Amino acid sequence: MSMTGIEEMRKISEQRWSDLKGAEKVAYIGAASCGHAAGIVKVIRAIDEFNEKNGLGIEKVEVGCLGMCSFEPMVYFQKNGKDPVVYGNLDGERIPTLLDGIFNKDHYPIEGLLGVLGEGYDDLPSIYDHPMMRPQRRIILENVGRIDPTNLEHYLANDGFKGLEKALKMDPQEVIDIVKGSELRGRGGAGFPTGMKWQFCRNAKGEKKYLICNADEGDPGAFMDRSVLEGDPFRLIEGMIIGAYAMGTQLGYIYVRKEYPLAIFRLHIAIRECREKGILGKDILGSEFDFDIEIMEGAGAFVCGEETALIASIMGKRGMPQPRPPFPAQKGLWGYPTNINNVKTLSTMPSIMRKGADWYSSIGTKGTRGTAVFALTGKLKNSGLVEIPMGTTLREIIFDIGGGMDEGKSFKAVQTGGPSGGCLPADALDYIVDFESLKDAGTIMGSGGMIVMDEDTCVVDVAHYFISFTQEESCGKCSPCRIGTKQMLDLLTKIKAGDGTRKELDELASLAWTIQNGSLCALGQTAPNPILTTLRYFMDEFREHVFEKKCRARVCKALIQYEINELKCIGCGACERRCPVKAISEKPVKVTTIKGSKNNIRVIDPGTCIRCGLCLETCPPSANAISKVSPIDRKDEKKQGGDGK
Amino acid sequence: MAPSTEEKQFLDKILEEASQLDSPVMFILHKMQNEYRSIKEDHAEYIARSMGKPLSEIYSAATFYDEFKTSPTGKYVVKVCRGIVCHSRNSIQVLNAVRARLDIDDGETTKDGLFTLEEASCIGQCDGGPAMIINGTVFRDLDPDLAVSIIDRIIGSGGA
Ligand SMILES: Cc1cc2nc3c(=O)[nH]c(=O)nc-3n(C[C@H](O)[C@H](O)[C@H](O)COP(=O)(O)O)c2cc1C
Ligand code: FES
Repeated sequence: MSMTGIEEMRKISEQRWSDLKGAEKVAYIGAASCGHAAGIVKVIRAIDEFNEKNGLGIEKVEVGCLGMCSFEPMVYFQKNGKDPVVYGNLDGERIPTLLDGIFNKDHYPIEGLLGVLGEGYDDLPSIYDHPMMRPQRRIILENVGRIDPTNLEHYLANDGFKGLEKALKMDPQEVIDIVKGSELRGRGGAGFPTGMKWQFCRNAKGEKKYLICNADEGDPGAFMDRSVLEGDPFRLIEGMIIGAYAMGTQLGYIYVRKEYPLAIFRLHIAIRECREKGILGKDILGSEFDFDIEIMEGAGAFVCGEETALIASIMGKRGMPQPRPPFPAQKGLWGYPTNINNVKTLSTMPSIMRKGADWYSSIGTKGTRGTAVFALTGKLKNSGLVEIPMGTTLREIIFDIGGGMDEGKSFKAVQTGGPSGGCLPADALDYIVDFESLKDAGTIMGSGGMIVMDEDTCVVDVAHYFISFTQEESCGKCSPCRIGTKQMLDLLTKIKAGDGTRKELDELASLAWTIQNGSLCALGQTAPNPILTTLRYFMDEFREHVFEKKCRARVCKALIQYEINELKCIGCGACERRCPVKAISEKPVKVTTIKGSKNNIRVIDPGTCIRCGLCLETCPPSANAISKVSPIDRKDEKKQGGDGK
Repeated sequence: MAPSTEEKQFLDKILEEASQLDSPVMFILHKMQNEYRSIKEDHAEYIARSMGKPLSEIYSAATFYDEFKTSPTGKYVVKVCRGIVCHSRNSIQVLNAVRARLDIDDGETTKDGLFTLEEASCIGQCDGGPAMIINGTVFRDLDPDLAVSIIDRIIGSGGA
C-alpha cells in the first residue's frame, strides 16, 4: 500500500471509529489475560442473554485491559454516543439490573461504577480522576484498554502509524537524531540511551542487519510487556518498523515467552494484518523500504532475556551469554549488526515520532526522560499496570495509585527490579523513581516489576526466594554465578532453618562481592542485590533469625509453631480431619457447643506438625482458635509471667 | 531406531516450513515437542542429517531449554506458578492440591500419560495469582478447589 493508500484507509477507519463512538448502545469488554480469567465469560453470557431477551441491540467490542487489574472483570457501557462508563468487579448476576438501569431507566447504578472513560458528565466522575489513574501519564499505554487490540482500524483511527509515516518521509539519520534528542533510555532494565544504540547499529557495516524485540519478560512479579503486547500489538510493530528504517534492517524478530499465549496470538494477527495492508513486507507504504517481522517463541530459559543469550537462542544454540565486546551492534545475530530493544522502548517510538523529541524530553527527570510502566503487585489494595512520569515517588505509587496496604496491614518493603534489584524499607519511600535515584537506594528501576510486601512477609524468605530463582536460572557457564548463587542459597537456607550463626551472615556479604565482580553477565552480577539490600535495610530481622531464632513475620517454618487456644477451641475436629500428617489429636477437656453437645478440644503435637498451615485455614472463623506463634516469644512470656508472680 | 514413515512425513513437513525461515532450529524443536511431547533421538538425528548439521548441535539446544524434553511429557503439562507473588497468596496449597489430585510430584507424569506436573517461576500473571498454565491456557485467581476442578474437567472430558 502507498502513503495515499494508508491515508484513505485512515479516513475510513476514523469514520468507523466515530460511528462506534457515536453508537447508541455499546459494551466494551476488557479482554486481556486478566479479564479472560476473571470470569468475563459469564459476564459476556449474561449480557448476551439480557440483550436478546429485551431486544436492546447492544453492540459488543473487545478491548484490552486498562490496567486496573483488581477491578476485573470490567465492562464499559456506552449510551447515546456519550463516553462509556466503566464498571468493575462485575459478575453475571449483576448484569440484568445494571443493563436495565443504564439502557432502560437512564440510571447508572453506583455499585462497581469506576468512572467515565473520558471527561465526567451528569455527576459521573471521570475514570482518569480515579486514584489509580490520576497520577498516571499514559504514553505506551495510550491505547491499551481503549481499542480492540487486533483491529487495525481502531489503531489507525487513534493516530496509529502516523509516526511511521512521518519517519518514512525523513532521512534515517534524522529519525535517529530525534530519538537521541528525546533522551529515551532503554526500558529493558539497563537504561542504555536508545538513540546512541541505534546510531551504533546504523554505523556498523554489514550486508544485512537485524532488529530484535526482547519480549522474554521473566522477572518474577513482572507482566508489563505481556500487557503491552496483549493490549496494543500494532504499536510495537510500528515502533519496530521505525527502528528498522532508521538503522537499515531488513528483518526483525519478536522473541516472546512461550508462557504468553494470548500475546503471541495477537501478535500473529497484527503481523498478518500489516502484511496484507502493505505495512510490513516489501516497499512499505510506497517508501521502497522492505522489512518484515518473525515471531520466535522462547523455551523457558530466563537467561535468554540477556541479549547475547537471546541471540544464541534464536540461532538454535544453548541460551548462554557471550562476553562483550563484540557488541551485538557490531556482530550479533548470524554475525550481522543487530539491535535489541525491549517491548516498551520500541512501543514508545510511535509517540516520539509523532510528537517530537522535545515533547518527550520535557517529561520525567533530568537523567531519565519520559514515563515507565510498572506492574504493581503484592499486598496492596489496587494491583495492576500503571504508567507514571519519571520522578514520581515510591510513596505516591504505592499509597496513592496502589491505594496502600490491603486488609489494614502495615507496609514492610517494596522490591523493584526483580531478581536483579532490591528490597527497600518504609524509610526509602520518598525516593523518586528513575534509573539513578533507585540505584542510590541500592536497587535498580529494572524493567518495571514492583512487588509490595506487608508485615506478614519475611525478608530473609524474600532474599532466599530471589537467590533460589537466580540459582535455578543460572546458565552454568561461569563459576562465580553457578557456584556462588548455590552457596548463597545454602547460607540462607541455614539461616531460615534456625541454624545460622555470625559466620553465615559474614559469608553472605563476602560471597556477594565475589559474585558481583566475577560473573560474566548481568544475571550473576546483579544476583546478590536482593541479599545486599535486605542485609542493608533489614539487618535486625537477619539478626533475629540468627541470634534469637525468631522469625517475626512467622514465615520461616523452623522458627514457628501452630497452636490451638484451649479457651477458643470448639472441638469441632475440622483441623484434625484436614491435617495431612495426623499431628492433631483430642485432649480430654470438654467444651459445650452452641447446640449443647460436649466435644473434646484438640491439641497439636509440634514434633509431628509440618507447619503447612492447613489447620489455621480450616478452623471456623467463628472459633478462630488456631494461631501461628514464635516458640521463642512463648518462652519469654512464660519466663516473664513466672517472674512477675 | 529410525523414524516411521508417518513421522518422517511430519518431520519433512516442518523442515519444509522451516526452510523459509531465517532461523529454523527453535521453530523445528517447538514443533517436534508439540507433536511428540519430546525431542526423540532418532527424530533429532533425522533433522540434523536433513539440515546437514551435527547431531550434537540439535541435541545441545534440545537439552538446554526447560520446554524441550528428552522423555515424553503427558498430554497436558500443568505448570503451577511458584513465583513470589503467587507464593505470598498461598500457591503452595494450589500445588499441593494438584499434586494430591494427580498423585504425582513436580516433574512427574501420571501413569496414564495424561498429565505432567511442573512448578513454574513467575508466569507473568502476578496480578491474578495464584496462577497456572495448562497447554497454553492461563488460569488465574486459583484456590485449591478451583485448581482441582479444572483438572477434573479435563479428566472428565476424557482428556480431549
Ligand atoms: C538475566 C537477564 C535477563 C534479562 N531479561 C530481559 C527481558 O526479559 N526483557 C528485556 O527487554 N531485557 C532483558 N534483559 C536486558 C537485555 O540484556 C537488554 O539490555 C535489553 O533487552 C535491551 O533493551 P533496551 O535497550 O530497550 O533496554 C535481561 C538481562 C539479563 C542479564
Ligand atoms: S508470581 Fe505467579 S504469575 Fe507472577
